[in-house]
Amino acid sequence: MTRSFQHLRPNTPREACELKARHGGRAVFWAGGTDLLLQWRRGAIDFEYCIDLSDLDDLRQIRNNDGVTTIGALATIVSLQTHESLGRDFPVLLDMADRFATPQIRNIATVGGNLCHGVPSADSAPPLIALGAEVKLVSLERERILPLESFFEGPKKTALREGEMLAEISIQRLPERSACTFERMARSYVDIALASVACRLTVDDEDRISQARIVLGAVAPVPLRSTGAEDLLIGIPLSDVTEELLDEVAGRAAADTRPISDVRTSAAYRKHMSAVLAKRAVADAARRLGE
Amino acid sequence: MTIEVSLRVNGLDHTVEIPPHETLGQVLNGRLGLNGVRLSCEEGECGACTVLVDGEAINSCLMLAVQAGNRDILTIEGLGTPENLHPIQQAFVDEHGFQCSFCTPGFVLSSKALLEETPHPEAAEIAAELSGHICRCGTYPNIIRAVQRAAEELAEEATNE
Amino acid sequence: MSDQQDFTIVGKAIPLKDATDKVTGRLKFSGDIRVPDMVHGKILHSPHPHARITVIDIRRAESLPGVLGIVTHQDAPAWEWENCWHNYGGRILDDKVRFVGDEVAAVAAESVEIAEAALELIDVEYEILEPTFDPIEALDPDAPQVRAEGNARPPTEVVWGDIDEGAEMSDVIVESSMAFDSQAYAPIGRNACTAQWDGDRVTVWTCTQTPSEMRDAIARGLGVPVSNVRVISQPCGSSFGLWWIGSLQLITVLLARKIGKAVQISLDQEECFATVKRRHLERSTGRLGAKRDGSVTFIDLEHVHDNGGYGLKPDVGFLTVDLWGAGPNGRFIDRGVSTNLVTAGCMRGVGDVTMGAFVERLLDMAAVEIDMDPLEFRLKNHIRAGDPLRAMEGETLDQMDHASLPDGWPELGKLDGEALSDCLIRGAEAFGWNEKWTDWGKPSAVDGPKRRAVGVATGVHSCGTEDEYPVSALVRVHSDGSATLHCSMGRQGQGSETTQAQIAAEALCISVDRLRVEAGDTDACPPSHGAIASNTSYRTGFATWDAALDAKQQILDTAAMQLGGSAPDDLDMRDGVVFSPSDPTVSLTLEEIMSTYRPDSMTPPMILGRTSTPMPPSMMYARYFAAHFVEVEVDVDTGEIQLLDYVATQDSGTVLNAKVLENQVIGGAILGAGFALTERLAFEPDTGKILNPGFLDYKVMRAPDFPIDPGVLFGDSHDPVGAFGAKSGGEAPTTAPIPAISQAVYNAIGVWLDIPMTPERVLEALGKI
Repeated sequence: MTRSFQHLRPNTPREACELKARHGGRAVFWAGGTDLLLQWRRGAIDFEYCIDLSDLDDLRQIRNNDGVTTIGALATIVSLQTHESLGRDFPVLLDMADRFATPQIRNIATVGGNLCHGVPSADSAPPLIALGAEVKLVSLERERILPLESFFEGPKKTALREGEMLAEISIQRLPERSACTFERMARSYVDIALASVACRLTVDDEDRISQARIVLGAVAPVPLRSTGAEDLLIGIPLSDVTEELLDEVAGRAAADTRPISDVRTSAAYRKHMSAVLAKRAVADAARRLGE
Repeated sequence: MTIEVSLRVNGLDHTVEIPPHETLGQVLNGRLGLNGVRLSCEEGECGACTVLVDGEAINSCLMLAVQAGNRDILTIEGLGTPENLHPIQQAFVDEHGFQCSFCTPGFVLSSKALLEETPHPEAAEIAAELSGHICRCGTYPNIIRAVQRAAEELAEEATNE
Repeated sequence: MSDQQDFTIVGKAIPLKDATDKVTGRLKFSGDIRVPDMVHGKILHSPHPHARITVIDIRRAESLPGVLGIVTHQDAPAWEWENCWHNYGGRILDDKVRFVGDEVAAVAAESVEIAEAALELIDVEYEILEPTFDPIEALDPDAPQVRAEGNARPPTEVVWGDIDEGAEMSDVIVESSMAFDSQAYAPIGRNACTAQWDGDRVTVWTCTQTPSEMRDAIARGLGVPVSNVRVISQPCGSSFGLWWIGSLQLITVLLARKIGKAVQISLDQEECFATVKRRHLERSTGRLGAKRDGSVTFIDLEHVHDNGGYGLKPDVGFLTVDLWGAGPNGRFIDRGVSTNLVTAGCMRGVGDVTMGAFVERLLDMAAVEIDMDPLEFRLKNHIRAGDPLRAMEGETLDQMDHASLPDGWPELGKLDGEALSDCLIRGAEAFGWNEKWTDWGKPSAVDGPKRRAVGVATGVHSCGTEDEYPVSALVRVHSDGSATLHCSMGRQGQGSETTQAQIAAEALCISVDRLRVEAGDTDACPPSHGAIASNTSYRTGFATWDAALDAKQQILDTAAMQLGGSAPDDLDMRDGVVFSPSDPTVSLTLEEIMSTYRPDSMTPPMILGRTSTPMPPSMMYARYFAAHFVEVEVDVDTGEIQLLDYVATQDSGTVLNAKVLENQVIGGAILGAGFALTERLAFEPDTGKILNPGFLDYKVMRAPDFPIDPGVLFGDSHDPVGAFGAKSGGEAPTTAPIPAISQAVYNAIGVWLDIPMTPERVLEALGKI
């Protein structure tokens, strides 16, 4: 009579996919469970089978091979902070992890779980997209790789098809002269982001911006790259990144946002903050490159 | 339908028959009678339910009990006794690091994890590392003092050994 | 009483008496209570803000296996119960619902899950009524009527002098208004009530600040003698006014009687946030006049507060009228109005938080106009000892039989003492006010979008109230010389078990380690006004002191009797030993006295000290004060306000225990600062339903949100009446943060904001969104 679900505990990713194939939409992949448990309890989602991924140690690893860093989907947020080299290679991931929810949640929550929950405010998304991350989705039939920015299709809606599991997130080594920053705004020290921006800039030998990514979180149905804002920076010498240009870039980024009003804050505030944070993120990245 | 879960809590082994959706907090508090594991928001916000699992502070209200199987769980009941308080507990007593004390077990356990990782944390660091705990009585400054005092105590103990 | 001798235990910052239980997690909270054969209850809450229950059919729910019984309005007495301070007026269960979340029925079942499932099976038909949510709209006689007696309570008015004359003599007049969102108690601990009947006697385990009052209410509501009701108050975490008498307890008692079994109803987080009580929605409008020399000529303000569905408060309690009442003219009007939102009532600091903040703002605005430093302006105008207490003028004093007042009582209607200037001056020094203050509306530092500035404000509250209930305590001395103090005050974590023990031990001259405090069992404790209105240190403390002195006298009399004819007449006690300054051979331990037969009755002595001295009516002469200093940094691009530095000072008379009071002061400051910056309940526009009934979206302060090393200073004063000179402690600290932060924000960015001062409000005021 009491609402519950069955608990399944596969030993390998293949087994996990087999179970998912068998039960389809009546089963969910369960990593840290910090979001899923609350949704289930509230009745927002329903399922009969919890496929507990706790034993898939291989998917917990963070590896570095030939210039590609692979973060297993089950890597906890805290493991990003404690990994011996990740913080050195991608300091922006430390910035993000340091402000992710609370220390207790970081010990359980996984990168994959944060992405698969698919809320536009997911903190791990903007920095990973800015770093050009790709995700590997696996099922019994196949594997496919997607750029992370294509992974999000709508609020709580991802590109995962029935039977697919997010296995890992991989990031190529950034070109030498790159900087990546992350800004977020919330109501208090611990809070879901009201707006967030990650920016990655790369400059060439002549100090001209050769690559730019500006990714906004919590201000659209999905984490959003503002290619319009990025284009304004391409080819610009660092020394020409003026106050005026930054305002233009920020304004263009804000124009791309489609924020909502909710109990946390108003759409107007989110739009305004997306410009403020975009400006700060870009300015900070440019400053770091100039040093 | 129920499953069997084995838990090692405060050094003792327990086996429980539970529905799979029961959280570690519900089992510790509700079935094992460990009332020091405090259930409050039950959504991972307040930190009152915090316990250490393999030395890591986690919200027991968010972890399925089955996921904590065969791992070492420490609750406040496993840390010191009334006759022999742990130095962290003694420091909280001496610095008045609590008022109503509903949040205290969580704060003490997270402090233990913190001090094991960072034996001499700065005050601002303590505040950040304990940001996963709400104290509605507003005792934060004395909590931070308690943790600093505990750090000194533990360092002295370590030197004396 | 108030000489400044060194005390033995009063004034020592000893650890809490229940520290070991607390730090080992062994302290039991109301939800931890287990009674043999206890069953579980859940409450059905209304989905509608305003409706009549036309049909309520429990048959389907009753027949669910495991359900033991259900109560609805059909089981509830017609009697309307009233909470302390008019915080509630209504039936235990009614056939009308007045807010989303209002109690409709309660189910008892073998498990919580079964009770929850049964709630879904209760069939209720509602006739939907038009709701009203806005306090101003609700004042309109044509607005939907929430209560049978109408929405509006009669206004509370305090008037002195002549406002028009005041305006005439002013060099500047400032005018403003200020709106306050509704703050939630947001407790971490949840409350539960467990009730068990035995014939027509009932025992109730729950958290309440007012055990005696709850006992009376249960007796009255359930039609049994008061002697048949035992309330055993439990800790449940912080309360701040949330847990007094309540529907939770009355419903649980009703349900337990119906089913003939012990039942526990435990509220979850959402229920604690959204279905019990909250601070009022409030709005102040008014003017203040001043002369160029800085003296206030008149204050004229109107206030409105909503009472939600069941509150009946005619006013929010505003002793701020006293703090600034030294001027020649004033008019304060407050109106309470019912709305179809969850009941609103007293939360820590009450009107001194809201109206107090508004008066401080008017003072600041006037100080801006005459270009006077806010510290100086306050030093010039605040109430002094001997000044009239405006809140008490008129009827209350007139009703008293002044001829019968004992000698030695303070003069009623006048403030008996304050150390507010001392607090302001020493606080300013500790804070570095002179170094940090620049000028009105001028930040002390600008760095990109960041603006730094400082603010100072004051606050006041009552030292308890004589209204509604007397205070009393009992001190029992046991055969081994240990003692128990019984005083009905509940256990909410303010440290009062410790401070009351210090008072009793000091007066009784025994070690505080040999004295235990029983704070919540109404069978053991004499009836006493609960821990509300800052009663405890001051009024309960007086009762405790009086009872302990009585016990001490009984001990000395007994010792004299035991010593026989040669007993010296200067017997005294120290550390549990009776001695004589004139005769060093006299030395009797309490244990010896208690085990020696009395020569008259040939029995061991019985020592039972009780309160017998009536306490003067504290509202009529005693106040305590706060002065807070804050440094803020405002980011004009994001609207964020950061608190960089904080010094809280307080005049609480003799400090019973500096660490306990420090925690109350900083805790109150954090609560007030949270309200100043982020705390607000959000109501759904069409239903009044609370959209953020939990910590996820109701943002309270965590350690990094408040300065980690705030300064705390205590004023140098001793009250002539309070136990060993102590006054009250817990509420004044909540009154000063809003106006201090508000002033600092004005100094940083030149705008005055409604409360809380969210980033959106900052940016709107700056014209950025």
